[in-house]
Amino acid sequence: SRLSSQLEPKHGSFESKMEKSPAASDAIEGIKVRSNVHIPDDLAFSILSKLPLKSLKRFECVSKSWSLLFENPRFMNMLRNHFTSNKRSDYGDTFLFLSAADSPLTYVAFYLLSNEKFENRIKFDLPPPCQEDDTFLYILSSVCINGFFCMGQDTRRGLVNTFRAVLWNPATSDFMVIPSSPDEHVPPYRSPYFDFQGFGYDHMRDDYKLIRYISFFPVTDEDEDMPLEDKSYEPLLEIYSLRSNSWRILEIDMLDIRDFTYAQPRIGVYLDGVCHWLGTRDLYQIEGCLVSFDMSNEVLFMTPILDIDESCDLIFIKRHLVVL
Amino acid sequence: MAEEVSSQMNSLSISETNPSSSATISLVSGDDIVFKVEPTIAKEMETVQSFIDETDGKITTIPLPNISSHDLPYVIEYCEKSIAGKITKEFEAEFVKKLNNEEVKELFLAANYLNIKKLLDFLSQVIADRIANKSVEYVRRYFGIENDFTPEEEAKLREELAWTFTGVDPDDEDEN
Repeated sequence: SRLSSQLEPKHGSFESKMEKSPAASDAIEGIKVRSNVHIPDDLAFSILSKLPLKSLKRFECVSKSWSLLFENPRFMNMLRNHFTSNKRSDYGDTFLFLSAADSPLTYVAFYLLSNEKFENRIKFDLPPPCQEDDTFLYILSSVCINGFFCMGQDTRRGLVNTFRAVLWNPATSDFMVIPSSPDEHVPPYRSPYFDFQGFGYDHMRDDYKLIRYISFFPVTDEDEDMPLEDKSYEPLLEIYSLRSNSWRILEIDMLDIRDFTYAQPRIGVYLDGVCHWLGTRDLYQIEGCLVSFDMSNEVLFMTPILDIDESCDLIFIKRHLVVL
Repeated sequence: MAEEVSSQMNSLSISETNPSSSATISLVSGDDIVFKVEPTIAKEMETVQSFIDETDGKITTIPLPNISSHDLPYVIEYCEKSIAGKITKEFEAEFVKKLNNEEVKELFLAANYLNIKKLLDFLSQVIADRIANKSVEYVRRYFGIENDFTPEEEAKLREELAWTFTGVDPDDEDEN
């Protein structure tokens, strides 16, 4: 029929037309020629920003301009938008972090898993600050946000606990050590204990944030002349913002959330702008609750956890928080 | 000598909500095939709609020299589903199942030309999924990009990125 012969030339011819000016008449000329259509950079970027990391890195070999993709602010913006739009395909990039800290042997390894086979894993070097001392490392909130992990590390020197966090992008090897906060060490009559740390993203301000719960215990031998009533051992909820590169104390009434110590590991989870962790609502650490912190609005929510069996001795219950 | 192919849409539901549905829009493909569509479909195509708006709706025949008659029915089908609010994962999977990589690329460029954001977004993900395990050479051909590295530069970069070259699919000759 006439129709089918009209439809015959199809895409082979169409490709060469795309390169010409949008004039229909001279398009017919190129019907028999088959040539590659050049996809303009902006359009190519919108495709590339949806690729898994490994493919994206391989395609740096395509051309000089593609090899500089990670330095292109326009592209990085698209990549970030795609990551945050939550529309990523399921294949995503899967990372495996192995850590064994049984003294005296320590073992820490970080892998990118690909092609669904463990044999295809690719080992990554940890960021330099974590290489010096790789003990007691963990990934805050068990999450990777826009390519960034937040590596946390608790160390104890004598009576003093310290906490260190390093923001790290394994793809670009970029890293940044999060500064410590002024509330960690002063005043000297108390020593901090880092109950919980969480890492999340503030969609409203395009900001990366850390949240942590610090409780304090008294240090007697460094006692000063301060009267007892002036001393405070009240726990603190502190938040760090990458944009301001500083910590600040959150004025949130925490009478209800007493303690986190029994909930191991203390890293919690992050999902859709909210950090979640396990806590208790009473002094005796019996009533469990799920504490959720909205990273954008900076508000806390609490969800009571119902205990399955009242007869069970709560000391023997181990709770784990996971994202399914 | 334009051949008229009316789109296969079921216009029933649209004509109910739109009494003036008689004023159909004619889209003329690059190879001179006319596709009659409801004005609501044209609205989904920003390029077409702004053309209509600029002429105060007087002109209802719109030449689309950059779109072939092979691609246009796909675009129209997607827009119909979009208006009906029936874009599901199942529909999308079925929609691209029969299209080879070159055809997906054409549709992608058509969606860009017509400025249909949803379709563009969807197809860019389809292309990303399909090229994820492809070779560097395949991607150069697919995007029409010249290799501007010297052999030494490329060899060096490939060595640095050796970890990314595992599990790459062999290039398929009969890809199209």
